[in-house]
Amino acid sequence: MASSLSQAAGQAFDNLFVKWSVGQLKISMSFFWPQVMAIFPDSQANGRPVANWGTVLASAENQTPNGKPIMTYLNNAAQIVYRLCWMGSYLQSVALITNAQANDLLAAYNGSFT
Amino acid sequence: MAYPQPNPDQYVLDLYKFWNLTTPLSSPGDIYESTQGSLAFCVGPDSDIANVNIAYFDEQVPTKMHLTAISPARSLTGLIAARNDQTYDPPGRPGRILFWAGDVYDPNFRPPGFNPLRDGIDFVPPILNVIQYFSSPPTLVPQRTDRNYLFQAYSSLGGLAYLVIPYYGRKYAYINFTNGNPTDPSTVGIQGLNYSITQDGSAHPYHQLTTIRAPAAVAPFASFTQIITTSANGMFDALVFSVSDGGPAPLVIRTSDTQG
Repeated sequence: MASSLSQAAGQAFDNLFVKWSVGQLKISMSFFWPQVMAIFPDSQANGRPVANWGTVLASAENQTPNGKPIMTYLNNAAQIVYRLCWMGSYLQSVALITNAQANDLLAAYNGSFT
Repeated sequence: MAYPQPNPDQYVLDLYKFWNLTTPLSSPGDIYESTQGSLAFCVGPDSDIANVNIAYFDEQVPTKMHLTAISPARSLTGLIAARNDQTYDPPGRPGRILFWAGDVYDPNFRPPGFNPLRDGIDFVPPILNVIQYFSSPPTLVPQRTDRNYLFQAYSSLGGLAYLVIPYYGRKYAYINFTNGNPTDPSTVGIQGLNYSITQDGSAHPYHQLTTIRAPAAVAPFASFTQIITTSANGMFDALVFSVSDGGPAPLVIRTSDTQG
């Protein structure tokens, strides 16, 4: 379990690798990005960078095959989640998103990928 | 990333022919959006970032999102409509052009053996420079300009001072160090760094370090020169310098996309 968003970013590849190894990469991504969208509505401009990552992740998830796809899909997904978590961490550090939003994002990450 | 996030809307309203986004990365997750269509994207001359990923609206793709990448050697020319009136599937967010650094950056990197009680580390944050054209550009010469750095003093708490400078996609570096301390030698090392997605602070982070100059003493008023090339040393995301003395000690670094 990650205890912060920067820690979640650092664990992204390792955690997604586990999901990929057992054929759950797509389903874990599909569980995560809708929560991101719910936490960061488009009307809140300050949180939109995180939602933009969620949009990119949703597209990646949609194109990811079920089961255990080739490793390219894992690499793409891990880099998107890495950057998404860093974005959340940065926006929290400069108070552009609330601590509640950051905590919800971290909970979504842990619930989806750990 | 500066806030409010820079965007091209005012440039279009003022009839500019292009939007030149130049900003240091605030975090590895920086992402930018443009609600304006374009006729070309290229990496700007001042960019430290070598690879930029672009996502744009494409009706032919099931999710309506097409991903591509540009680099100093490859621009993206052609009409790209932002399509604010449409939405990406499946999240239903409005069509916008999104772009971000394709290279990995990690400001939490610390060298093996780093002691926060004695050692210091300073990063030169990578600059992202992307140019979006709103009219047909006459020519695109996206090669980046050479980057020049001059450092003279180094911060530590009695241990080593580390300095990390961006080197994404560069093919050549000229480095000249002079120990200006009249009494004390300074031990100087140079490493090439490739970032990984890793848990910083753990016992063995995955970042890859390649020794270019093993730490060695530089006598008072002595100098050394180091040349780094892709053929001799490899390609790196960043260069890491370690210096044992706070200075004065001029360190000149020149990096280039062209191998001399």
